[in-house]
Parts: sequence; C-alpha cells; structure tokens
Amino acid sequence: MSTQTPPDLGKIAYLGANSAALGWQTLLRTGPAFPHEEVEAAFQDYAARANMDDWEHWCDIFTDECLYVDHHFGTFRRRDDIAKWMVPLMATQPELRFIPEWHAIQGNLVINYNWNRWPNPDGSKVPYGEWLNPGPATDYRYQFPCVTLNLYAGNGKFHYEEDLYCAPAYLEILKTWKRDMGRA
Amino acid sequence: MHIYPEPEVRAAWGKVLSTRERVAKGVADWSEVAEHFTEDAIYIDPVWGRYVGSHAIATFMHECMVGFDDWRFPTLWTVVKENLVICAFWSRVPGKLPDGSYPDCFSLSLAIYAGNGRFCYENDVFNMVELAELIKESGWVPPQSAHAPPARLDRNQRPPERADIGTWGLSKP
Repeated sequence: MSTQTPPDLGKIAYLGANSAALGWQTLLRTGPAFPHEEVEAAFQDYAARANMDDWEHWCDIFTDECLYVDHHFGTFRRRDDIAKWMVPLMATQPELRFIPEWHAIQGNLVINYNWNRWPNPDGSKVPYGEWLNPGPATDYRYQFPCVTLNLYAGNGKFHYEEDLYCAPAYLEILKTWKRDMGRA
Repeated sequence: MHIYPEPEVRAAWGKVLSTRERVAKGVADWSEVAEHFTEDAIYIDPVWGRYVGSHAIATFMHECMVGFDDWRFPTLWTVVKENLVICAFWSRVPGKLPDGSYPDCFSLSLAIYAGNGRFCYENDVFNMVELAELIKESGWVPPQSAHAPPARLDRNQRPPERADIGTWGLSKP
C-alpha cells in the first residue's frame, strides 16, 4: 500500500463511480429479499471475519462473480481479484481493526457504519480488537469512519460491496499513527 | 428513548428532499435547508467540515453552495431504521463526461430525526478526491462567486449525545 496521494487516486475512483452506477442499476433490484435474520447472520459473520487476521477467509464471504467498489483503491469484479488486492494490503497493516458502530438492513442491503481503527500507541484501551464490545468510540484517537454497503446473495455470501470514506482522512490518520508509534 | 413512527421520519426527510428540489429549481436558497434542523443540530460535510447550530448550518449551506446552482442531487434510495435515515444520492456535476455519461459522485446522507419535523444531525459522505476528479473530467469551473472551503477541517464525525432519541437515533447499534 502506498501512503502517497498521487493524482491517479482520483482516476481510480472515477472508474469506481461508473462501476457504482452500473452496480446499483443491475444489483439492487435483483431477486427476492432473503429473511432479515439470515441477512443479519451473514453480516455478523462478515464483521467477525474482518477482525480475525485471515483475509482469505474474509474474501470467501463474496460470491465468485461479484462487484466490489472501493472509492479509493478501485473496482473488483471477482472474489479472487478482491483477494489479490486485500490479502497483501492487509499484510501491511495488521493492526487495523474494523469495528461496526451501527448497521441497518433493508431487504438484501446492509449499510454498516464502521470504524477503521488503529490501537492507541500508549497501549490504553487494549484489547482494541474486541469488535463486539469495543467500548466508546471516543476512547480511540486513530480511526476514521467508513460506510460499507453490501448486498446479500444467499448461502451466507454477498455479491456487492461499496466502501465510502474520506481517503485524505485515511492517509492522514495512518501517517500520524505511524509517526506516533515511532515507525515513520 | 423514543422511536418515532417510520412514516413520520420519512415524511420529515421528504421535506428536506423537497427543499433540495426547490433549490434546484431556483425558488429557494440552500440556507433554507437549515429550517429542517433543530437549534443545536450538527451538520458535517467532507469538504467543509463540522457546523453546530441551525444558524451556523444556514450560513455554511449558503456559502458552500453559492455558484453551484447548476448542480443536481438525484435521490437513489432512502432506508429508515428507528430515528436514523440513510439516503443515497448522486452529487451530479454540471455537464457530461467524455463518454457522454453524467459526472455522478455516489453520496450518502446520514441523518438523525429528533421529532417535530426536525433533524439534529446530518453527515454527508462522499469521496472528495473522486468528486474533484469528476469536476476536472467534466470541465466544470466554479464561478468567481464561489467560496473556498476552510483550509483546516474539524473531522469529528460524532452525532450529538441525545439520550432521548438514542445515539445515532438507534435503541441499540
């Protein structure tokens, strides 16, 4: 992962926007809604996998053919392509945790307001990885919110994800955290 | 805590969207959006930062949208969970992209309903780098009347602590 902000980022995101437009048109209205409890269980599985340092396992929650739009990193159309991006990326930032603040479900759509969080450098409020019972968000200083949208496809899997966050905030906070950890 | 009936929440949000529509038609000013917010409301924009109080919101909404009269914000969908509204829309830059499509930036409004037709929080979420790229691709240039956003932003995203309607407007996360 690069911590630089080359102009290419916007270019990638621009492609993402077009993908997103296509995604909403083709995916949001497809198929019947699955039972609320089933979608909720799939989301809980998704959030658990995001916090166990096994990103191949996390990627397995997507169908082979799917659409993943990250407005910073780009667009991916297969589970294997998500893994090729996500597994090496997360190897460079193993301390990052993904803590849901709230989520809402309507039909097959899950909206998740998520904290992307690094541990406090002084070790306070550890274990920060307790994603089910993390305590107040104000206990943590190095985090940024990310809204993820997922569409459930049945059989415990999702076939769409779109991530919205402030890319400059992500890069700014990661840089500050590395500096304060003495890693800069 | 109090959970308002979904039809009431949707009706109140519909009025926010109506005001946005009236602005698009040129019969209202952006500052009028502030009338749908409580006196202690918080409004957050990724480019302009955090504003507290309906007066500050009115001033900021006017200033940030001067010169943006040709922009459109078509709504995609609205989800309501208890007192929380999640609304997806396009931030549509004027003009067209080289391939003929609209320069659309996917955007979300997260809003918390506080009763009496008013909201106590709105957070608009989009990727500002993506929006900047769409502006460049479309060839749109802000007119001289447009204001520049602040150089440093308050990035605090927290909603108001309102036990009566729940943090984030929800009885539990």
